[in-house]
Amino acid sequence: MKKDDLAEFQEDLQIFLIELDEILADTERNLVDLERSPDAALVQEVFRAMHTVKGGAATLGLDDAVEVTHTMESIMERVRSGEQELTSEMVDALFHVLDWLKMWKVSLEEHMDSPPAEDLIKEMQRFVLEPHTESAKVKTRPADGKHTLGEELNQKLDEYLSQNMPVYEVVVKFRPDADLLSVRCFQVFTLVSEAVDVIFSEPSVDEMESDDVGDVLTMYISCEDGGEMARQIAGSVGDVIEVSVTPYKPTNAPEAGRESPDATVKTSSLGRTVRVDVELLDFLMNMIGELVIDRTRLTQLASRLLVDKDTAVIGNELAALASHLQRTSQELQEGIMKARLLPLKNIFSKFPRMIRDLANRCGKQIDLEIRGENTELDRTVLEVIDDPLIHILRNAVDHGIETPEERRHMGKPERGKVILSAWHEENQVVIEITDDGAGMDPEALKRSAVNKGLVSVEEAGRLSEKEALELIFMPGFSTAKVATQVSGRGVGMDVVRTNLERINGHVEVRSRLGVGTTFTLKLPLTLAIMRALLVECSGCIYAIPTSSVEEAITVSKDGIQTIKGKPTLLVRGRIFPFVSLEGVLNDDPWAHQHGLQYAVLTRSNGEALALGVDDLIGEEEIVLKDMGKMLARLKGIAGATILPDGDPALILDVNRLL
Amino acid sequence: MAKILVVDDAMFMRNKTSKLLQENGYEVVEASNGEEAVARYMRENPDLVLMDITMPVLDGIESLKQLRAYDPEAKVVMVTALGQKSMVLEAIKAGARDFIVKPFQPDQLLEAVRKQCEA
Repeated sequence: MKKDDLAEFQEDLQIFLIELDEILADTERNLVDLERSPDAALVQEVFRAMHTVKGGAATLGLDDAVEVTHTMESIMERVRSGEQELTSEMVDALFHVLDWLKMWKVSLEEHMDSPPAEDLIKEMQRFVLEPHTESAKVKTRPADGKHTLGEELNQKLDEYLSQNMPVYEVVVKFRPDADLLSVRCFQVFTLVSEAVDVIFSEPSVDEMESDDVGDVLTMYISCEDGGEMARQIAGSVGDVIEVSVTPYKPTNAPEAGRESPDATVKTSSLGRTVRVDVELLDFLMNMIGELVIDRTRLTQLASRLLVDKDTAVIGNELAALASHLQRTSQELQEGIMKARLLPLKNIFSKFPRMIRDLANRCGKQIDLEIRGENTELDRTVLEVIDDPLIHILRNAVDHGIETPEERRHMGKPERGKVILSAWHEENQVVIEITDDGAGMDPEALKRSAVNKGLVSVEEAGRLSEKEALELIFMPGFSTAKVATQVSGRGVGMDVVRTNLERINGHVEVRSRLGVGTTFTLKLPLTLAIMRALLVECSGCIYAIPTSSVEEAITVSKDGIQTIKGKPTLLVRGRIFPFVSLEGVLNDDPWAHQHGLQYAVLTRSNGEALALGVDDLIGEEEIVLKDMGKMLARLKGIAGATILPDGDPALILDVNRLL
Repeated sequence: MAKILVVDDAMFMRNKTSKLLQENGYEVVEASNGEEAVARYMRENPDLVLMDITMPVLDGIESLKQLRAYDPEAKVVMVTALGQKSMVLEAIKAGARDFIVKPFQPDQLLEAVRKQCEA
């Protein structure tokens, strides 16, 4: 292999592997759905997915994967043609193929040997041993059709390009089960031909007339409108499920663009993407912060010039410039923030398979319904919530949903249901995990907490139902004793809550005995920008993320009482330990609390806390600036921000204050 | 509101289709064979024609050709049954804009009609 070839191979491989990731995730989900209810379109999807992987692997000369995907493709082909029904044994085998492909992918990335495939292929061949005739109804064609382009056609297309006539590849996908597919093909071809110059089509008109078509029609057209008209015409024809238009690239040009159709009408489309290092985004965000500061200084300069008659004209112009700069930097900031967002699909996609496997292991029947998977979140937030979600879902399978027998006794459908949904709500994202399982018994929770010595019998007796449910978030509540193979990994709900609170998120639980349990996660869209309450204490300004603020109140002199030698604030019957903010930061929490006018009610490490401050300044949207490792080690400090007037302020991490 | 000419020799199909269209706010005129369809088209000048393929006197394809000869802009959607592939193909060649396969769901028909009326 020449060096250039190797580099090109690596580049192709890179693209292939990215695509493979998406395909595997989609296929896994489709299989889970298929197992539940047969669906011709899904069979087709899985079939096409394997076909695509096989084609890619073959192009790259990766023979072992070609062989493996071929077996899966054959099975799906038989299912599609109705020759064979999809049994759960087969689904298991198909999942093994996906598992193998995942390992295979890792081996490619790590430059290791491929995992052995012989056993897997044997397993798969059991299902396809009987000879089967090629299904005549739907002919399979490569989904993209590109590698079938003959040299002659390439030349013809290049000729168009050389005469400055843009050429586009239009790929039209039909519902595979549509009636009179060949006529649909012909209809699209005819209508598009009326509008633009169709240079070539696959299948050809002859093939359409002799019914020799698949569910994909590929056309090469020449037009001046970027293929827009062709797309609209094709998209308006019945049974068309997808139209993609890609500029045709000359044969000798780099092919990097071909994997990303520049416009695709499809809801599940991932869109056009480039990969950017998060560090670069952070850097850009920081730079924008600087820009905001400069803008503020410009405004200040302008106001100084405005005072003097002689310079007022310049001052006015400068002020206008500053306000323009403000709008620009604000939009830049929003743009960068959006660039950091990723759809929840990225982590949701693995859950259907996970739930299926867990449910099988527990002998339960569970459907997982996912809603709002396209809701977007900052990637840092996404990373943090992955483990908590896994934990909650595992709990739902293990402790929530009952066995089919139990459910029958209760008069519930044997199949349990877990709904994972996500949506935007104002400036946050809400994720809810609901199961229709056994629910939690507040009394049982209290007994358990008492047995573990977490609360006294009297304390337990005073707890309301809602407060009893909160017990599950106490450190030490989930112990190895109640953990099973499924849900126990030494992580308790307390860790879930702490992890979420660390990113200014929040988790709550509702449950009804016998009816089910719902966990609600409220998460910030991003960690880079947050709303914060600005407070002043001993001449310094601090920002407290509003997500940690319960309430801010005025403190009257006699509101503070000393209980057990410690100052305490009584608010509507609730007792808050009262500490001064300055004191707590200086590791002397009980000092400097005289004359404090206000208190911010909050919670630190699960404990109620009233932070005494000199003044409340107001609520602001602040940009978190990374202050490096120096500040990261400071107790109770999450970072710093720049205030609108250009002054820096520290952002508190309330959870780590005490 | 768009005016639609429904052409079918089966009264049942005609009634059913007309009713569905009227319920959705379209104005409907009817014809029970190809010859009648051409005559009605000239008189009523509808925005769209829903044309059955198999009809007595003058079949859907012939009728379509005459319509297009009279009005090259005539919008015709063929109504067909499975197994009439070659005829539908011919109809498309002769300028039919779309086709619907019987038996169809109300939504399919309305969708096809809507697309043509918007186009």
